[in-house]
Amino acid sequence: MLPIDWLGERLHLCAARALYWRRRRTLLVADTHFGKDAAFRRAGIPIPVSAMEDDLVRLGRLVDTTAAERVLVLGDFFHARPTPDEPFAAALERWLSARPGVEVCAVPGNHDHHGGAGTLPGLVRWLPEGVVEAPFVFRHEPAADPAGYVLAGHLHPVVRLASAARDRLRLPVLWLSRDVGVLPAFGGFTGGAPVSPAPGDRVWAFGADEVLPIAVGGEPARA
Amino acid sequence: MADAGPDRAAAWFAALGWEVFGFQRRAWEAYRDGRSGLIHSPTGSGKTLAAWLGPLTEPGQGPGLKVLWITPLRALARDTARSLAAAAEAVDADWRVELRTGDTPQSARTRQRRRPPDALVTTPESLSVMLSYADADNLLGGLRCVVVDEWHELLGSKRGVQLQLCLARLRRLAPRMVTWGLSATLGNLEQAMAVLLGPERPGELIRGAVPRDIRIRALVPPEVERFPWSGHLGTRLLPRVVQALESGGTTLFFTNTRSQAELWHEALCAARPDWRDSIALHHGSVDRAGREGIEAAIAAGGLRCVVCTSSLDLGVDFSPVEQVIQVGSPKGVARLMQRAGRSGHRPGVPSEVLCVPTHAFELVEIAAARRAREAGRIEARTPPVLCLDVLAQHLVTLAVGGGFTEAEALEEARATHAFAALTDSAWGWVMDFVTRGGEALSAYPQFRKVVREGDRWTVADRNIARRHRMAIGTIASDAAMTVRWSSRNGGRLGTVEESFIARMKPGDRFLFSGRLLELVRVREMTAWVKAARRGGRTVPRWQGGRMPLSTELADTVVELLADPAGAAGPEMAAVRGLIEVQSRWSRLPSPDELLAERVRTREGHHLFLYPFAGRLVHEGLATLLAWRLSRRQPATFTLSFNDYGLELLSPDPFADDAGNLPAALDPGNLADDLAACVNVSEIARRQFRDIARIAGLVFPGYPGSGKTARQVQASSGLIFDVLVRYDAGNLLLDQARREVLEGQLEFRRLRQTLQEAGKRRLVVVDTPRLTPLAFPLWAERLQSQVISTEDWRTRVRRAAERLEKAAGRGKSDDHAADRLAG
Repeated sequence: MLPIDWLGERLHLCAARALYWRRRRTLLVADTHFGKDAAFRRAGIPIPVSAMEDDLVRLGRLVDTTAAERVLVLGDFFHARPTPDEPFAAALERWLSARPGVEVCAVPGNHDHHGGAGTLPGLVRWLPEGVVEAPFVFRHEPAADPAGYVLAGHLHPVVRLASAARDRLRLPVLWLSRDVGVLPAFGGFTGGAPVSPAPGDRVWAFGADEVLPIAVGGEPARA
Repeated sequence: MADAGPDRAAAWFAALGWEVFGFQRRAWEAYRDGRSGLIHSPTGSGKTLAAWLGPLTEPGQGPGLKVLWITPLRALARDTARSLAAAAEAVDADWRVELRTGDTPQSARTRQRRRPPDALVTTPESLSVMLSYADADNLLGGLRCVVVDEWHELLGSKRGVQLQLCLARLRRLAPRMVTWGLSATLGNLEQAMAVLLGPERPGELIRGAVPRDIRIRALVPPEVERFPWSGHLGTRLLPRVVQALESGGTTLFFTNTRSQAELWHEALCAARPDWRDSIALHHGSVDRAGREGIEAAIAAGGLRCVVCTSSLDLGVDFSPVEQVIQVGSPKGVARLMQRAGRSGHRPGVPSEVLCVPTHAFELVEIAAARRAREAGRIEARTPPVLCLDVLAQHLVTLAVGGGFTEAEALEEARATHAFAALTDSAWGWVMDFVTRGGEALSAYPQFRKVVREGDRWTVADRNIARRHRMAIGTIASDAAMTVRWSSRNGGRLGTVEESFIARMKPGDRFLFSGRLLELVRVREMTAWVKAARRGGRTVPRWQGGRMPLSTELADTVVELLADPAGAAGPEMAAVRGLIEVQSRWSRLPSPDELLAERVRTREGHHLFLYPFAGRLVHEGLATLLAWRLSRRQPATFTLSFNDYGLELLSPDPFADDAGNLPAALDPGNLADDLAACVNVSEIARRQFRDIARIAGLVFPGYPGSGKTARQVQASSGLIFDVLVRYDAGNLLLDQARREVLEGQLEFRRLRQTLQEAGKRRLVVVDTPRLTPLAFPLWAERLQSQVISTEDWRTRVRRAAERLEKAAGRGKSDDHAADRLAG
């Protein structure tokens, strides 16, 4: 875990694509897109179930190592409206019962508006979008907010790192600009969109087991 | 109807005063005798009537669909239907000929199902869609004959594989049906017929009686440089090309890449502004309506010149075309013949192609094309096998269309060439893939696509059926991005490959469809553009530019270079100076020797090797050599390659090449070594795009397809990653790797090259400076390193001048506008 200081708060960057806010014992992730694999299977596209199971295992490991008491998902918790046979509901229930004292919260994202928001009320606590926990404001879509520094998701930000001719590397990033910070997408079965940070922004890339600062506009980022 | 069959057809010919060619009569008689076969002869020689009059004059036929005529391009379908209908009318057959393509409106399709025409002109994809309707056997069960036009175009592709499967199905639905193919000349005609009919089925191979004379001529520049570099010779020939266009009639002006087409179109319009309205640009990325407009204008004789790519390689009979020009390397003999055949569509009139070289060695290639054609060395097209993505799609098609039993479907698949060697386990995997989502052991809950109903496998979910039908037609298309005006009501300009746009930023300019455009923004697979003012620009580079020189042509080039004195003709005379310098400073390549050159320059130590095996093989070979050599002695190499050879550049001297090179060229362990030095997995990830689309793992988005469809869209790369991680045994991943090895690295040809290299004598020559063979490789590498094209041109020209001086001639041509060099 890589510690950084931001607006007087210490945040730990975890390579598994999460941000740990120790003062509030909160693990922040974005864009889990749970149930995406099942939605694909229902449409006749065979995506292995292990993709979702792997996400929950990864989330569990993060909670266990950080001793977080709360997981806060910055929107797009669900990918599509959960169906009665949604395998995720049972999996999440098992996951929670193995971790008493851990709460899962979510602000709704655009995918959750399709009917995901408000579901699984016993398992997930839904927060209003734009909920303030100073100095931060938690939203799904990144847009500046006078109430505080916005932490958001939605973009699935990645950067491309060029190496040898036929070798290209795309890595998910945390992208902190002046008013808004965008977290990498957590879900293992989610795509990424390349972003173009401006000079002065700070960017960290999430590799297999390491978080690395990325230079923006020629200036090396300071961690 | 007094007489029928061949006699009636012959009587009709006689009434028109036409002579019946022997091959036509043979075809009619073979049809009368209930046989299948393949007719090969050049375009415009009467193939269509040879195949059509057999079924048309067959006596005693009832109502219903009797003939299915399959063409590879829907642009061809309309013209074909028109000429079939005209012939039907002329012989007084009361036949309705209709069209069924992706453009046919739903109402017409419904009418065709209720009241079938006598003959239907269609495409492989539309045939597949027809099979996806439950009443397919009503419509198709009475078929007497299926004709596959331009079979050579389909043979080597997955569309051909799809068609093989559909034909196997048709043979079950219509047991009395015979199959006829029409093909241009190929190196493997026997195999082409066996693939079309299915292995083990007898057939008659009928050769067109009048092989038309083809004249291959080169526009030989008055003076040829001895140190050629890619691209720039062409524009120096611009005035003479313009002169060639003066001579009335329509000219088809073929280029090898779309970017070359864009540049030549611009150059010709600039040279003759008064021709602007009569010079058109036609390539696969131009909007379809625009292309059809151009095709109609050609047919009407209203155009002076159409600058085009392979988009006009086949098809419509353009009678007004009097001249064909080929710019740049012909790349293959069959391809050049095909293009030449687009002119002078009258039997007995020789077709002629005027080749415009873009650098000096292409003069040798033109001479080689002529020699190879005379010797009958024509390229083969290799039919792909075991494409599980296509099989998976076909099984879902059958399931949607009323269902299939496993025994029948397997029997049909194994009756095709593509799946004759399908193992039980691969079949089992594909069945699992479409029914359970994956291997039986792994859990895929919620997955339902193909489900069991009694003894049949069907698709019950109507949404899945609908999406599948929409996806059937997508085998042929690339991942293309639509180009639209950001103003002007968002009008559509055409499509461009996504990878090209991905490298551009808003504000960048590029030449497209003959217009200079500026990229405004990219959103949802659409590039929004506006007209740009003049200035620097990029020309879109499409993938097509990477086609390698064929083995037949490359071998003939070596023959000519080995014995230039024995080769007559203006082309070889023009490159005499170049050959003289090459043999003075080094050696000439020959079939018995493998030539390597070592030279030291300020840049470092160069090793050049000339296997003459085409650029794809040389790319793989350069990577392999660099890897193998650096295992013996740690080194960093810079690589370069072209159709003739490759270059390794190192800052340090090569240690004992004569000893190390043969070991580095050893064909042993090739697959493993290649896998170790080429990132096959990353290339396979890109290759997976096609496979994912064909196998139904990704959907193309459609307007109005709604929220649900958007929720199940993912990039093929993402699906590839998920499968690699969680379903490593997925056979589609294997297929992607195999396609990369075969298609992108030309593994088979590479192995053959190494095997032959072992038999040839390796000759390593230390040369005083870059030789004529080495220079283009050097220039090509420089081009990829130097940022601005202007710098590149200046540096290459300066280097060429120095070499000319060293070779004993002080002057060099002054060529101001080498605009085609990029």
